[in-house]
Amino acid sequence: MKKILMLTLVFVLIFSFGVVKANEQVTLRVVTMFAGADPVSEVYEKTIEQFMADNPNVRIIDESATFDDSVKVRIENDFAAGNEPDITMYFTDAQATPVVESGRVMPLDDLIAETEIGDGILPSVLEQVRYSDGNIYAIPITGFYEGLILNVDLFEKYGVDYPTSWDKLVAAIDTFNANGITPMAVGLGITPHYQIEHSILKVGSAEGHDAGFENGVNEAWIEGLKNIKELYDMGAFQKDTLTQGWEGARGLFKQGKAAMIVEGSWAIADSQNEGKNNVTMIPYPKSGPEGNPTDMIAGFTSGLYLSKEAYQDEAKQEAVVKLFKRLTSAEFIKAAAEANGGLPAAKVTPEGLAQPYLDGLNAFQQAENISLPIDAQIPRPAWQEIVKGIGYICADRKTAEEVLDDAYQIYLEVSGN
Amino acid sequence: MEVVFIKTKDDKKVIFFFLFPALLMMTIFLFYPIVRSFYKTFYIAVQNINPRFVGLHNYRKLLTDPAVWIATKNTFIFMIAAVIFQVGIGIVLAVLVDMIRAGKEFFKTVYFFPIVMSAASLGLLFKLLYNYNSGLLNAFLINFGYEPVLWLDASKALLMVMIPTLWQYVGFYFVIILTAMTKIPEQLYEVAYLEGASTIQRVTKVTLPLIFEDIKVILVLAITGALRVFDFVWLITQGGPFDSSQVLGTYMYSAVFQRRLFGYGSTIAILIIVLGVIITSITNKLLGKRDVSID
Amino acid sequence: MIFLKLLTRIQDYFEDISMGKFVIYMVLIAWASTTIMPLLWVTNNSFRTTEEIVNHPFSLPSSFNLENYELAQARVAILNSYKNSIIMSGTTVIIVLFLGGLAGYVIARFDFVFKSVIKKLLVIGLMIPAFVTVVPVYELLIKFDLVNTYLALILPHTAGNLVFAIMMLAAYMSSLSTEIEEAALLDGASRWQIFTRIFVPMSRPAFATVGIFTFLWSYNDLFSALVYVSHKEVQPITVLLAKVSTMYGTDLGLQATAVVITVIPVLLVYIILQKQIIKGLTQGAVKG
Repeated sequence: MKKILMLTLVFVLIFSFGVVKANEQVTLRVVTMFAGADPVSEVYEKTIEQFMADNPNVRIIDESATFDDSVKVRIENDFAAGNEPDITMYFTDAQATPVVESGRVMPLDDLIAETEIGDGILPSVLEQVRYSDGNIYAIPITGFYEGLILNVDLFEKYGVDYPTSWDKLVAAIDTFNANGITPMAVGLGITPHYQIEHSILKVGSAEGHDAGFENGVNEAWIEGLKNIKELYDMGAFQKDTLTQGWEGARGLFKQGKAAMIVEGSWAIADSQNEGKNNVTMIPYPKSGPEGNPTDMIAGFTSGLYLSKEAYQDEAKQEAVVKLFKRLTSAEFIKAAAEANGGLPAAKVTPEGLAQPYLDGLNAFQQAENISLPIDAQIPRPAWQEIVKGIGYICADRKTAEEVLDDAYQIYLEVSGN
Repeated sequence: MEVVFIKTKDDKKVIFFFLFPALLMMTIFLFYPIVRSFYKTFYIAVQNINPRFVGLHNYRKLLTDPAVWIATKNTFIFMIAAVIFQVGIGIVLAVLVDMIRAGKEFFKTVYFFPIVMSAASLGLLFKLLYNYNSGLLNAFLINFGYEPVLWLDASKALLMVMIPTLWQYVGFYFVIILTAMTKIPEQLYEVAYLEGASTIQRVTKVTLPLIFEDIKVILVLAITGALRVFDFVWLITQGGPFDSSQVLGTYMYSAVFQRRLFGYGSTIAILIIVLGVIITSITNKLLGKRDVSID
Repeated sequence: MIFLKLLTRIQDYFEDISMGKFVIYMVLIAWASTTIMPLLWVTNNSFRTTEEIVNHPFSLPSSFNLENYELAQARVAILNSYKNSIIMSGTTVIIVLFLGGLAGYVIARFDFVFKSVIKKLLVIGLMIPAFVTVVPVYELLIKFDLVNTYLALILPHTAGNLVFAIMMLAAYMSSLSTEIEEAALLDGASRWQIFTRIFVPMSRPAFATVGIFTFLWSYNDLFSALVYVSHKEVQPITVLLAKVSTMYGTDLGLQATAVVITVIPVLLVYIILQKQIIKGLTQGAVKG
């Protein structure tokens, strides 16, 4: 018995060293978010398989994963320690800092000008992901748009107008409340993110929303958070909203117990609940004097990064560039956008999209201003302070001013002032 | 019954070679990382990049952060509850199971189920129990004509996350006590029986003193376990609403992984370790040194 | 013959069942019901859809529906992940028991200068929260070029579980009888022989218990798995839990299925190792 145990041990030790070692071929490591239930994962996996079939000398190790906090920490540390994958899909917003400032990703401007990399990507999209040092480091694939998803069946059943203005939103809240339907499902306690963005955007203006903390706390932010409190006092949200996150809110909407939910294009598929709900997406209504009814929160906040080391490695360069091109090709982008209903980064028209996506895209095209979410614009610790503060504000334990001042102090602390 | 340490001339070598591999492993993967984290408490580095030396800033922040005080208070409540309920119920169940013959195996197996199931799954279960709209508890209340209750509001959230946390690990202490009791030889019970000891006397005079060393260990485990409480709190409330169910484990996690303030998270970890060392030394002082062996 | 014996035994047993015993059974059964229900509930829900779970959380499935299991299998290669889990957690258990046993024996049976220091370090080791060691350990693993190998999980798990193992084994061994040990020493046995021939067999129940917990903690540790091993080929089965809960956050049926799939091997290991405890129990009684 003991001998068997020892043998197994030895075997395991030897075996575990041999797992990743490759032979003569070129081996590429790729990390994307296209894993698990991500709608693009199927298209992506097929593309990778096809690529390997076309290029038998290339072996691809796919480390794609759903990006939860632990995976993000892993990727950040991979870059810090020089263990980065050859191609990495990561954020291009405020979270890009650790990846870009590690100095281990290729600036792509020259490659875009000289080679076919990034061919067909919309110039405006590339501008959006330009890093603060003036370089482009990532090429986006698809973007998203956010808005108010409505359960059309419930609106029809109770004869409620779509909430295209603040008054109509209030009227809708009253009617649904009177009928025992939760007007808006949101997890204010744990994930109030989208509600914060939209309240600020639609109480203030796009300018106010995008003000950041550079010039202190913007008035629009204070008014926006106060607006959430107003909605909360009105009974707009489910009773247990202060103890819930997005899963709870979305669950409620899926089951047809809530009429509205503020979410992004990625949530449309889930909110339809396999066709049981008839849904549409409209821009969040104007809620204050400065707001613009057509403005939306949308954009590109992720893209593919190319490892400098891989690019400069002669043995790898050809293969890694080829794969990078394939994954940023118009063909792949079209397929990805058809799968997740997002905004394509290239000049292509996704086909066969369901009605709610078309409604959302239509609203997006008519928007006067497009803003990136606030959390893409300010440092993460400051953003988290605002997120946590919403519960405090709704329960009258802190004022909107206090919460934003705390967040501002953290902003100063982490930005070195 | 004092333990006598038998000595031989090769003992020094034996001590070294027997201890070294284990200590080496722990040094590399446990103590070195914590020293490194300690070093990072003097820096601010959002997302672990561009570290900036800030001296004692993180420690000052720790002392003035109201959430840390709430979390510390809640952690102490957890600790007291863990000692009373987890260890207490664990011992009672172990003694009771030891008294019976039929079904012993059955109980030993089923009491272990909650530990096998991992907090991720049980968290889901309790979330569904507590759910306001469709949870089981409220379904019962409505059935009997009462108003549904917000189980996870600020006044009850701490209690509601304590219940699964304490309940899950009762089986753990139960198994350890039961294991410890296996080393008590049958003869001792026979002697006690012949001397006319009652069942309760048998437990207090024979069983408990002989497994005293093990009880000390599980008290330390319960205390340190309470300092690290994380799973259920994070899964059910994430420390909310308004930090009412915040504990040090969840607050540290949110510092490291949500807010990406690794230095501040490490500072909280240092607080956890300091508190732990103080409390366990007090406990050990109170319990005294009482090494016993079966002779 | 055996049958007859069994009958008489059962008869004997019920004759001396008293009021006290009855109360004891009631208490034990009451607690058992709280521990059995969740497992049944989860198993039951693994065959149902989210809608059924939310609307009727505690009723039986309308049909024996394997859809969730098929979906889970599509998400991860379950058999390969099982293999990875068993290799990594199994190896961790073996190393922990071996190194922990040696160290525990020394702490239980020797008196030396740094003993109190080591004991303090062990207590500190128990308190070190995993979340702060994750980043430094990951840096180390990158340096040693171990990321995405089995050792990337085996080594940190071994270190983490050694603390508990040493404390438990030392506590158990410290109160074992010294008589046999003395006799063996007089007969000229070496410390190694005493350890392997006397202490290991006599501490079998403790080894089995520590082994179970080590296996369990190593097996259920989703967090390190997500950080240290990102290759599908090396990932353990618990990663399935993360895959379904982060993206299928609202699909309760699938989550229940993931739980059932991950729980099965641990339950088997527990039941097998529990037999060891009982074996150890009878042996201990003979020798004590």
